[in-house]
Amino acid sequence: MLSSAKQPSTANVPIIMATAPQETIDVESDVRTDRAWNVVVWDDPVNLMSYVVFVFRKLFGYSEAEATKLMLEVHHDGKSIVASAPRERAEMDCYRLHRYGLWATIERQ
Amino acid sequence: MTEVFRPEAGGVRMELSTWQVELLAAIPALVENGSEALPADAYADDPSANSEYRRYMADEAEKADSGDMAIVMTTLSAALDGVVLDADEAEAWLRSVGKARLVLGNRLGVTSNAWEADDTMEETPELALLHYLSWIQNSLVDALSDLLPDPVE
Repeated sequence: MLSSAKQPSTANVPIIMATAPQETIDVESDVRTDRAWNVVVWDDPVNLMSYVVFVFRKLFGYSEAEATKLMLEVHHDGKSIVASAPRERAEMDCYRLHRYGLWATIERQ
Repeated sequence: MTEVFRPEAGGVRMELSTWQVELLAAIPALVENGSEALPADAYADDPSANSEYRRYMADEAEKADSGDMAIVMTTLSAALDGVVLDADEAEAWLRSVGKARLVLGNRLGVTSNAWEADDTMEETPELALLHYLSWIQNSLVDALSDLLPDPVE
């Protein structure tokens, strides 16, 4: 959408002029989008705190103190951002959290 | 109380009594019949992105879950005499117990963190099993935490 809005509206513009800016903007847009996804873990009433801390340490390599801080954020605020990554990587992180039964989603930053 | 799971060289030692083996053998069917209680969506407000996500991940997730359950059942049969789980097997146990707890919580209609200390909840086999699996999960988390490498600062 962003790139097409920047194209000249006249129909007789040479193809090279119409497409070149579009490609440039697409590349920039992809890079920007790829770095802008948060992996969010949501509070739930069943998963134990010690379990959530362990999963954060296991999957993301956090120290016990860091993992505990994130777990408490989930517990008190209802959610916490546990990782940020390009979209594909964020989806994979989300999947790995789901495998452990944690309620994770991803969202644009 | 003797811990069910104990860290040991090469992994986690699991030792169970007969009744515990019988009880834990219920996990695969419990999870399989309650999969609607498990997280599966990666997007909070985007059904079409979720469809695509599920299309890519569903087969993988099903295969991975079946693999976990197969490990649970195989190692369970050896647990009476005590068996050492390697790290992957112990993780398979952890995920399976975690999912079984979610299914039980859903069946019990648990909606608040207060359930663990809620004396007014009707005592049911599901609630007793959920408490038992909390204990199992804690024992496993304690043992596995000992195996985690110290993070590089």
